[in-house]
Amino acid sequence: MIRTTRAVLALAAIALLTGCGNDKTRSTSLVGGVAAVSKALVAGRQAAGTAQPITRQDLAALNSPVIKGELQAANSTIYLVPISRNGAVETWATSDDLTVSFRDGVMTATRGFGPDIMQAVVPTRAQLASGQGSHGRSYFYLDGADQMRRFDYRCSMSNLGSETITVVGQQHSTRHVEETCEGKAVRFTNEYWFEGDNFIRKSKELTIPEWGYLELARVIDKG
Amino acid sequence: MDRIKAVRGGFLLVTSLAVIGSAEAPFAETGPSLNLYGASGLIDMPSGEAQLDGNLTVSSGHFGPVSRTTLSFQITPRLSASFRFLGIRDWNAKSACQPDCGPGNGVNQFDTYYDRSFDVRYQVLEESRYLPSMTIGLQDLAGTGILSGEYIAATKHITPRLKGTVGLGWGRLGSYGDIGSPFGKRDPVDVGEGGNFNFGQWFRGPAAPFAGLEWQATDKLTLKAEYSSDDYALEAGSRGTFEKKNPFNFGAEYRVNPWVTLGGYYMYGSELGFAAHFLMTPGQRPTGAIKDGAPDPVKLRPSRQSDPDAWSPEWVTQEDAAPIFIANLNKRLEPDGLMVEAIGYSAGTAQVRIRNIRYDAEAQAIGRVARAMSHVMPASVETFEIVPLVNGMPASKVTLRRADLERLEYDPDASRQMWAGIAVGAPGDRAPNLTYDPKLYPSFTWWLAPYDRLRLFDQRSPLKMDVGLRLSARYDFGPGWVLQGSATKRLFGNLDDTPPEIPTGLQPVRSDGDLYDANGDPALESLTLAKYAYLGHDTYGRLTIGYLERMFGGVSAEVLYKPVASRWAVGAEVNYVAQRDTDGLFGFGEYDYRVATGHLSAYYAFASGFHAQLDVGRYLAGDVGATLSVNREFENGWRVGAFATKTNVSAKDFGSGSFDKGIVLEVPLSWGIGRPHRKTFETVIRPFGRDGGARLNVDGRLYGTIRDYQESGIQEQWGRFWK
Repeated sequence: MIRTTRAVLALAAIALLTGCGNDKTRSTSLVGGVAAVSKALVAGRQAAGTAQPITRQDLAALNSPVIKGELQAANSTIYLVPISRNGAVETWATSDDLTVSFRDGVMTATRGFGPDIMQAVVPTRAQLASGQGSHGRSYFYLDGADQMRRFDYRCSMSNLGSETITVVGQQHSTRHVEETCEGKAVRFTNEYWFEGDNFIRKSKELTIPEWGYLELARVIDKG
Repeated sequence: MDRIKAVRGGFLLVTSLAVIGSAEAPFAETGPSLNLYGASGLIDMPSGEAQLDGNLTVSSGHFGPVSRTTLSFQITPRLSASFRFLGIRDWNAKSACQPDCGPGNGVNQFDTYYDRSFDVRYQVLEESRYLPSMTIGLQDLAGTGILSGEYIAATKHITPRLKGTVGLGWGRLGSYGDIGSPFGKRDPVDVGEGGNFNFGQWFRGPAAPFAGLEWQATDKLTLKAEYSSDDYALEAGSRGTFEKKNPFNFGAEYRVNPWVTLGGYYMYGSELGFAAHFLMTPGQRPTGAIKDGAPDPVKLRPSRQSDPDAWSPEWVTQEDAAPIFIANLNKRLEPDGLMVEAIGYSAGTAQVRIRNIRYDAEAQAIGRVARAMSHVMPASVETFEIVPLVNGMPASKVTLRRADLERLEYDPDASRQMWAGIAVGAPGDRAPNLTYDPKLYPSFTWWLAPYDRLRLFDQRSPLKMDVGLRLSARYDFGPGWVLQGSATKRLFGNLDDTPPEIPTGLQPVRSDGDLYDANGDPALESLTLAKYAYLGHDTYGRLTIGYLERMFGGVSAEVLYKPVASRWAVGAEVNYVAQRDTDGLFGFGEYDYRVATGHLSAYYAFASGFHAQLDVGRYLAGDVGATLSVNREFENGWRVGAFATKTNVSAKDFGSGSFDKGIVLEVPLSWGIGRPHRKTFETVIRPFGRDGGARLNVDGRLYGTIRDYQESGIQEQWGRFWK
């Protein structure tokens, strides 16, 4: 009871501080922020409790191809399904408004993360799969003034040999290649695990240097 | 994805600090630091350095009885200015009026002396391999001049982490250990009502050298030592507020994070000191890029060969298509805080008129609407026209090719090419068969939120404040027709403690503001009926009737000529108003004061981000004159500016400060929260708010309303089109 009273008081205080009404031009996302925080708390409790890990069966039930994404810097896991195709670019989305776009399987844009890859010059899948040679890469990000900032890199490929990897409970024999890129101030290494006819089963690709890598694994191939 | 926030701050290091950092001189291995005056400098002495362009700092520096709170802005890479509140405690330690220094004792009636001061600095030389950075500064260059001093200072890195400063000061910066008066005698200042530049004093009188060292011991810790040329003759001497034993100051500063630096000092052989410096980067959001949900990708049309039916223009003849389009568009746009108010179309072109209530970046609003149109409009529609409406007025017309949208979405050069492909034009005529959404009007919105009202430095206290609730409501009963009002109810505060009245030679159009604070509870702040309209030929109009602001009611009419792509605009405003009663209710009897006031205004946006406005006309007290405002505007919506008004009121009639002037800060909420939002907070700091040069505060002035949606406003944040 005391807890409920406290919660009501806290909500009243929030309403008082942020205001209330039906005018959307004034509502700040502080309110949204509070909601999001509570959601995260709930999620945290579930994680600490008895929540089951997501299995391959759960994902297969979506009846759609699924990519599992892990953003290590944020300790966050996302599941993406394809939502549109524009030429060679396929865009995949989470249920909470994050998208990742791949040009022929290679990550070329993100949206909804905040500091997104707005546009990029990326190598082709064939260039990566060859495991040799060098190429250029460019990322375009928006800065805190909404100006486009371009970061250029020179990259070279190397072959790390065959490797068996496990993606959500299923094993895949892959060829592991590494792409090492060097720019003015930043150096990073993307990794790719190719399967069969140069299908990218798994990859670890840079988002922005400060965030590090997004690990992407194709879990379900057909819907 | 809330956990992502945890690392988001780090993005700044890449996209802004790295960029900012690259602008630093290659020899400045350590950043420029601030002194207790909140100016680039050592401890109490200035240096030859400048802060990074566009940076805004708030400094709170204290030692012994002296407290200074300073707002500094690096206006250009070389020019900076500061505005400061000064307080000196124990002011009457030696006064003759002791022990009873009550009212009637002039400057001695208060135990703490308060003053305001204003500095300007110009860096004449940037540091290079062999040459130091060098700055010429004018401290407290106007007004009573208690802090007045001029200097030239040079700073050079001796090693990458050690820099030395030497300088020569005049005025109070030349008061200890002088070497004579190179430029002649310093005449005492004739203060008058204050607020005037003390040209005659600058660089006159005794000059004294000062020097210091700054060593960056670690990335976080900086040690400083200096020899001060300020004798504190008044504070330590005649006023006896503290004891100055020697000219040496020592300090250690700790950089808590890029935005906060704290310092501790041992001053003049006797006093401890403390400083906190807060850095803001108006040009760069601390959170870096805006976080917002991903857009729906562009929907491609089927090829003409595979689906010829989809391309048939026959749909145009279908009745009632417009409401369906509007409903389908709004279904997609509503979560983005966008609204299609009206649509008009032919087989090949569709025009939507939109209202944006969420996006600080107009380009992003347009990008979202264009994507939604790609989902909703039949394939034969090749040209999208997006007309942003503000208060029902079309502000511009953005025309884009649907094929560009489809082709460029993932192009490595998408942003630049899309900008090249669009046209931002005059709103032009209404599209043929333009159909409004009948559900949008009338609309009623209301909002209840807390407010606070501050009064700085009335004669009794440095800060008084009220906190209460404000209820606002708005009724849009047709495009451009707005009935709105707001009322306040104080919850607590001390603004009802009014200071003693200062005689004014004018109608108290603003100086009685304290009476409105005290008597108006609850108060009707405003209740107006307004009509906004696009009059054609790049001309906009506004007519507002009612209780226009807290102190005046009447009628206000405005026209603005602003071509969509031009850097300049001209406007005219005429008002006939009466002064309201101080009780905040409906009457006008208390003052029985009516005045016709109005201005001709010219606006110009310089390419460099600076913006000037000149208003010439008649002010509320019936005085005639002009206001010049200059602002630096940042792409993300931040604005830092200053204004001055000179009218035919004599300095004596005006009172303290001689003429009206002030500083304006406008901070977009999106800058702080890192998410899209249109709200901004505007703060006007007037060192002396009096009755001369006062303008009516009417809501919805046209220039600020329209400009965001015109070419420059869209271009500034064009990168957000594809966000």
